[in-house]
Amino acid sequence: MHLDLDFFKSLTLNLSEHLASLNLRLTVQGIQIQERSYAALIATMPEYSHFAVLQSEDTMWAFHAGARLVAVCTDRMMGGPVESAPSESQQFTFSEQFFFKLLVEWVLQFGEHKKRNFTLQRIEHFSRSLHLFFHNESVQCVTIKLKLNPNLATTLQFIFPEGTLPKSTRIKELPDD
Amino acid sequence: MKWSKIFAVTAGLLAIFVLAGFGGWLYQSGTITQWVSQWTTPTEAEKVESQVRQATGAVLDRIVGNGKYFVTVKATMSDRSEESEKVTLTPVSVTLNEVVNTKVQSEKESIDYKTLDELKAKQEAKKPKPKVQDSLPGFPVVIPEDTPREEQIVTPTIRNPALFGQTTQKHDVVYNAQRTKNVIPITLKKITVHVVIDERKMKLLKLDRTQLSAVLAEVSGINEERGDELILSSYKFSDAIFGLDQIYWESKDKLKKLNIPPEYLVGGILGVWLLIALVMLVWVYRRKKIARQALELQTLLDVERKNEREELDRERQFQALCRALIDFVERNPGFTASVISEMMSIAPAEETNASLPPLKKVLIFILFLEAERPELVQQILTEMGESLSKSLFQGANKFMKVDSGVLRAVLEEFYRLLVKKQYLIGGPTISQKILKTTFGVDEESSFDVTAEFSFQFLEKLSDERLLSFLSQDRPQLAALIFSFLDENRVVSILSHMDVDRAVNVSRLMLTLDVPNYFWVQKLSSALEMKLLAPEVSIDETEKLLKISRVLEKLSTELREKLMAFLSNVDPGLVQKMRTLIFTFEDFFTLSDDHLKAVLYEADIRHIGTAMLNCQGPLRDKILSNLSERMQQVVIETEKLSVSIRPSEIERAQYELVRIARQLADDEKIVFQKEGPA
Repeated sequence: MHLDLDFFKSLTLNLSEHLASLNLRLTVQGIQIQERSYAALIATMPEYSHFAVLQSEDTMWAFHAGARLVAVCTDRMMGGPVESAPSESQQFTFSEQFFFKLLVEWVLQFGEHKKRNFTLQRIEHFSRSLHLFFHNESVQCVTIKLKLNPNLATTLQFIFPEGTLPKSTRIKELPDD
Repeated sequence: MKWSKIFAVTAGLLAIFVLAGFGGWLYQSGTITQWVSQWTTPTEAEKVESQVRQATGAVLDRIVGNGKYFVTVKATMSDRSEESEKVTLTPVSVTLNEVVNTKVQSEKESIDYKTLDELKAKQEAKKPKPKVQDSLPGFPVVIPEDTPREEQIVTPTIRNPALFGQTTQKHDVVYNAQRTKNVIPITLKKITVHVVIDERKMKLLKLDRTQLSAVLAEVSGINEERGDELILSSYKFSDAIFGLDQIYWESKDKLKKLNIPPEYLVGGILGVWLLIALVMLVWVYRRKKIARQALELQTLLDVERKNEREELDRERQFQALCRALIDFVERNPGFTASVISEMMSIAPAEETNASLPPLKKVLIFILFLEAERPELVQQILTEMGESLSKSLFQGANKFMKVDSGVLRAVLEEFYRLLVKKQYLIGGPTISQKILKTTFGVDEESSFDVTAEFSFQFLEKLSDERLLSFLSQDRPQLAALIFSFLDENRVVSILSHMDVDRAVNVSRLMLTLDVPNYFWVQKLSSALEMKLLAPEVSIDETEKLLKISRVLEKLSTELREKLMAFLSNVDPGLVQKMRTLIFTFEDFFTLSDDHLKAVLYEADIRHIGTAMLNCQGPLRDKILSNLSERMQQVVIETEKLSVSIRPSEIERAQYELVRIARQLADDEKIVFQKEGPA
């Protein structure tokens, strides 16, 4: 799939520029790459969130955007304030789902621009419905920690099967703050 | 790193000092000289052997050719230890009382004298011979004059008085003793020459062995009387190596012929080693220097490439920006003209390098458009009006040249202003003013934003439906939509809304900012599709189908519990649901082709795990639809997967069911159980 750390850095920087039209300042706090079992990873993630299952060649992988990021961007898109809270209910609203689709579309366009073609398989909002890997299977997870302009922390995550990322990128940058 | 280098250099220097000291000790003790002299100073036997070998080889070269013969010579020389020593005693002073008859006998010579004068005369005659420095083999060695002489006082004893006279007197004689060494020269005792010639060459040249032996004996100086031997033999030589031994002997002879003093040879070897070490040091230094230069060059190239890439990216971004700007102006010439008019109305500040006066920026932007799309400039100027256009071009008279950096900065500013609308956010007064100018409407009430956002579909939507939808979505969406609705309608909907939510929406309406036009337009289209889609009445069959699909995704245990509960309520319904639910066991009902299609799409690990608790005909059916290789993989998975939990097996089975359901939805396979899905 030819993914490396530079790809994710570039993706985040471009996303920051892309979301600037919403008058949102998105700053990257760090990129963390972990390798752990799928069950352990899912346990650390919110149960209800925004997941897109993508396919690149024969590899299935997942893209996860934090609920807070989607909620803030959705409200800003509609002229709302930055200090938005995600939905309280377990089901996300139509407008949030709509914005997440826009975000996934943008990720696909970015991948195409960088000559890494992905296709969208499905969108899920429940982490246990992903069914991408076996629970004891080892996976790689790229976590991009972001901060929205006032002081809101959020994340973007990319989950790959083991061995997708080259060994040289298996480094940890900026530990949890 | 630094300490390791220091240690290595110190160790190297220490090793050099130790080696130099050891070498010096060896040289001082003569070991090296002795060793070298063995290779450089030929012995008498070696001289003879070399001469004979060369003479014989010269003849054989002409007769049989180089490499087709082999000569060994063994010379036996007489032993150098065969030497004799002679001691000569010369009386220096004699204390004589009477006539003495004395006889002193050496090994070969005897001295007889009767009187003192005779003794002295004899002494004169026995004076030392002229000294001879040479000590060639076979010549007598004469001890030089300055050799310390051994003075002895001899008191001879008369052994037989009858022979030497009647009177026996005591006397003291002082003798000077001279030792004379006679070394017999080293002579050649015997030569044995062994000549081996290639048998094939002998046969080819038809050489007469006797005749050849005679010639070789003559050439090599064989003397049969002395006991010399010449052995001529012939063997078939190997084709692989020939002449190497001959070359070895010749090389050794040549080396010895040079007769190089051992000191020079040792010095030469050391010099060569030092030279090699020096060359290696220079080579290593140059290599490191080249590597360092290459690294620096590579770094420079990398930086240059990076700069080029960044420049290229900037250029691409700028071109994209220009395209986006032109597209926007093409679609919104009125809005662009209004923005330009607003900018021209701003009072010019002092011009600096960092900021240009607004009029100048507008002029640059207009000139850029003129170069790209002249027709757009006409449209904008028409929108702006004649007076503003004239005032704009009055400033163009002083305009000479625009730097590319300035052009880029100005276009980026217009891009942010027009396309991204960053300047509109946070300033509703300014945005309204610009928008009003854009649409050419003076009265605020007639300003219709809906024309831009196309939220017109809301008019067709009932209040109940809109309320129902907005109550479930984010309050911000309600605030946005209400900003496009009639006040009475907003009141109507708000009055039916939950109080807390109504308050929240009202608060958001007050702080409503300018939305992102592009995305809101898309949202509007999506909402129109969702809210205006014909409401489909869900009949009982569809409900049944939906609940069946839900039950299908549940674990077997939970599904059976629910079915058991439902069967108490409506057994007929459960029966219908069972026909609609597709489970892993239902793979048995699939045709072979359809089963193969499912298995082809599935992951082999899922197949292997799913079949862990699958027995009987279903197992046989699935295995029979797998290739032999896949069958082996499945069997191996079964063997290795001892500790897999039942939940994982169920998940793998559901994965296969999901694939089957997907294929059925795509009409690639058909479920026999329930007909076309």
